Amino acid sequence: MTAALRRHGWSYLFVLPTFSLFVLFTLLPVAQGLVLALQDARVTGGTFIGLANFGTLADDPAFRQALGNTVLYATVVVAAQVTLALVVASLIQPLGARSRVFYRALFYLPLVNSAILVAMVWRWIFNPNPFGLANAALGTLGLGPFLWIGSSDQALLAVILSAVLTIPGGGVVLYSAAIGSLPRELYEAADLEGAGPFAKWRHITVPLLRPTTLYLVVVYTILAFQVFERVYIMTNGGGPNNATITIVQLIYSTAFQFGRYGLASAMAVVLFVMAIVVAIAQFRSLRTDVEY
Amino acid sequence: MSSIRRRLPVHVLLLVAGALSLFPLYWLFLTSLSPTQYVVRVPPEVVPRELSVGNYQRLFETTPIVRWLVNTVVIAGVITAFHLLFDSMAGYAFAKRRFPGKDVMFWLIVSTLTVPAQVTLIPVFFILRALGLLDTYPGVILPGLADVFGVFLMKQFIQTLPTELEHAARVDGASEWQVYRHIIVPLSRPALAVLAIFTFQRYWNAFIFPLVILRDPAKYPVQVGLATLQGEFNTDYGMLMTGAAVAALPMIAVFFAFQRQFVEGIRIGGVKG
Amino acid sequence: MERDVTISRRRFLQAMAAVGVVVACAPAGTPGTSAAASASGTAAAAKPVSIEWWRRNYTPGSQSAETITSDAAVKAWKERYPNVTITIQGGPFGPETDQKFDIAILQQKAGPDVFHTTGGDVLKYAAAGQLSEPPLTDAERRDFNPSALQATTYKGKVVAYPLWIVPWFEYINLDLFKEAGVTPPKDGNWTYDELFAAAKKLTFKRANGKQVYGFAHANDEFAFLLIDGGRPYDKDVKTWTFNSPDAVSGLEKWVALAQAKVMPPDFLTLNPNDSQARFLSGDIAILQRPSAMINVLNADKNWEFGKNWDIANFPKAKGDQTAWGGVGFIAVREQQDADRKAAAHQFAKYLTGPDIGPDLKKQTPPVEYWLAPAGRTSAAGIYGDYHPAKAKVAKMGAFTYVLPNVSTWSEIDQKYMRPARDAALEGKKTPKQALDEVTSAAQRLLDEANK
Repeated sequence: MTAALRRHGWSYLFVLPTFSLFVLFTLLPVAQGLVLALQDARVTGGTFIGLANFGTLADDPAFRQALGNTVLYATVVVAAQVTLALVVASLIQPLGARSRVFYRALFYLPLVNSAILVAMVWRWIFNPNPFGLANAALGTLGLGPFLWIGSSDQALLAVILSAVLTIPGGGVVLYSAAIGSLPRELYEAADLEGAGPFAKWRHITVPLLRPTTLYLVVVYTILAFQVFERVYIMTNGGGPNNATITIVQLIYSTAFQFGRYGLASAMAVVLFVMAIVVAIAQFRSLRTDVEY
Repeated sequence: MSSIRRRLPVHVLLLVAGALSLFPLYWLFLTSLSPTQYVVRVPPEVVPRELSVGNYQRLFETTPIVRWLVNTVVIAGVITAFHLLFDSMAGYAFAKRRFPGKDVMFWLIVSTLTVPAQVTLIPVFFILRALGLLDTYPGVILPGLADVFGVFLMKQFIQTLPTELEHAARVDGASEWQVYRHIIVPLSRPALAVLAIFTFQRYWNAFIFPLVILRDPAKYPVQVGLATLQGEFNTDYGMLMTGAAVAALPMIAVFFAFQRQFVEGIRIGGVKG
Repeated sequence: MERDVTISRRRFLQAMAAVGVVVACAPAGTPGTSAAASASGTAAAAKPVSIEWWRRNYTPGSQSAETITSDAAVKAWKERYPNVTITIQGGPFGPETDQKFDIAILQQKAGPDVFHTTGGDVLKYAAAGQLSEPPLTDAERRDFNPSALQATTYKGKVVAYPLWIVPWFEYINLDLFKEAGVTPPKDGNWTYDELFAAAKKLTFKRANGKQVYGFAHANDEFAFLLIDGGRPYDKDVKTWTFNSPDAVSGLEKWVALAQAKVMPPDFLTLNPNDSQARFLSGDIAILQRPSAMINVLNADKNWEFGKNWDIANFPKAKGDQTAWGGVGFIAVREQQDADRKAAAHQFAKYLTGPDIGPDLKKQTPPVEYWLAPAGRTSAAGIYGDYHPAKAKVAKMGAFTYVLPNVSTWSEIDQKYMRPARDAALEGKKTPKQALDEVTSAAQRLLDEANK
């Protein structure tokens, strides 16, 4: 025991501050959430009902709709965001120091806006009225007008487009910092072998960025699974006929407006399991033990 | 010359994309500078017809915006500082060291990233009450330190750092802390800068936790304070937009302060190619 | 997690709940004095007492209506009852504050002595045993609006003081009426057919390309389901009846407006603030909104009452004249400390009573206390004195159908009724089909509320 402590003491010391706070303020509350998911909990307490909440969810068309919307949104948006961030960061990299600083700022600055404000602007862009910017722009090409957020058929499309059409500034900054720290030697070696810029990007940059990619894919997936404000503001709640309702939005209303904490916790458990499955899959497929 | 010409399409592409992304920010400042009577115009105007600082005047005269900003700087600043220290320590341990329980701990951390704040809010409230931290700054700051995005970020980054330097330092008799302090931290600067920016931004925008935990309006951070401007019977859009614009400025400053740290391709000496 | 800056995230009435902050539990009082105090009810506390009032959107030093009226109310109270000190706790608008409220009152079993709340929430707190019954005399009982009193009745007992009744009605843009050659409804009375015909004529495109729409409402009410006499449930609040033929034909009338395209294309996602902004910009000729918009129009120098805007009743069809409406309440939290509880009741009575309006009007500068028509007859007059439009609104209380008050209403409303309504308005389901599909879930929730 003491030998193990002596051997690993530093390791534990390094993780101790974070992990103890994590246990107290995250793990413990999450465990309580798991317990609630097995209860018929209303605001004033509840009784143990086993897995009945999950049965209720399976039969609930609103939850099924929310599940489908969330998965669709996350799939499209994460793929687009990670790709865009990688491409933009790679395009910025060879432009010289001053341009790099400029573009990083340009793409990061929009992030200082709150999600609410950004969603308000997108609400205006995809407004079905003539003053909606998307319809105005498409109108000059002779297309539309489209109903966008005013229709249960197009509202989710508008929400997804709003996320896809935004350059993910955080991802750009992160990739940019990561590209900046890649070892030059590999590129110099590739130069000696006469590799072109695209070949170097494809065979050196992209593989070496895998840990960053993994981080971004996991984090963006988690954020996409938790999408709420954008949908709430753009489509004023769950959209026409619940067309844009998402899981977190349903958790939110189920817990705090309908007072069904047990059922809401069960939804959170579903979300949790989904995210773990995705994270494991992504860790597997993007696993790297690159040593260079 | 030819390189500029070759790069021109890239510049145009990036500028157009950047302009689109910046549009909400532009709109925010534009609205904040509109005279009140134009704020709720339908359709909203892309080019202003006249500008006025009236909203700013009203904001600073009728609300404790300065107090809110100071509160937020304190809360977000302290949280960010601790995250830089704790997350790089933990990230280093998870990335480079082997110890029993490491995988379990790391997976617990990654998996709980997915839990929405709505689920943990009430239990956290009770824990803080038990600790007697309701309506205190530590009550807002401590749960903020438990968020583990940063550990994950630092682990992913430190994993890409070469191991040779650590070995060399240990051979030279450096203590474990010295390895962390003098090898890992300097090499992690770009990631720490990113972490600082992300964390500061996250807690600059924090809303529900401070709202529920704080009772004294004098302790409100800026987003909670601004939300109080929204009326039951009437909402002053001009002032809200102006508040949002003022609240955006410190985040812009933090970005510029830290982004220099993404050092141009940190030189990593003595690394095998 | 994010803040809510500019969007009113919930329906108007839900947004009328009071503000939540967390206070330590009051020390326990002796049972003897507790019984005596609640028996005497209105007796002023003899010794100095300090109580806490939670008022949403109260921000010290700001110019919000809630802040101004709350400060003025405390000042006026202090002159009448110097022994009782009131501390106001504020907080922003939106469901997050409701959460804070729930956490404090329901989980912590502590919190405000007096607070503002709304329909569904008041029953939630009552069901949790957290509300202290108002000690009302028979005269006071008769003074309160009966439907408002019924809305605050839980298991046969009145559990809070009705503060005000907020009716939804039509705001009309007189300039647009003139432009389209439509006569405004005489004395504000019109039938559904008249409104429909007016809305059709008022939907037009100007030469400069500006599209005007005849009619709009925000996404927060079901007024048309009442128009032919449909009601959500029977008198005993036992049986769900919003699939009755009268409710179905009401929804059909609503759908007819959608099909005639007299509403803006985004009417299904139009929130209250946006709908008001569109009215202010002259894009909408008839807008269905509650009384709060009077102050918005009044504050705008481009708008002059009687000259370019007016109000009219909700249109009439087969049923009696009606309007969709909601109630705001003042509640007193159940607690052991008898002195505080008695003082809290006294203050709640003052906040909802006939004296406060005139008291605040006498202050310099005068303050308009009533932001909506009062819930009791003896206090109702003054609201109409504030403004000619408000004088008209004050008369609507008599026929306003108060928002259904069932503890599970928000779930019935948001989870079932709204999607059903949307499907009908979009033409994806017939009104009958849409309302029939809601029935079993709504009945189940109604039963749950009655358990």
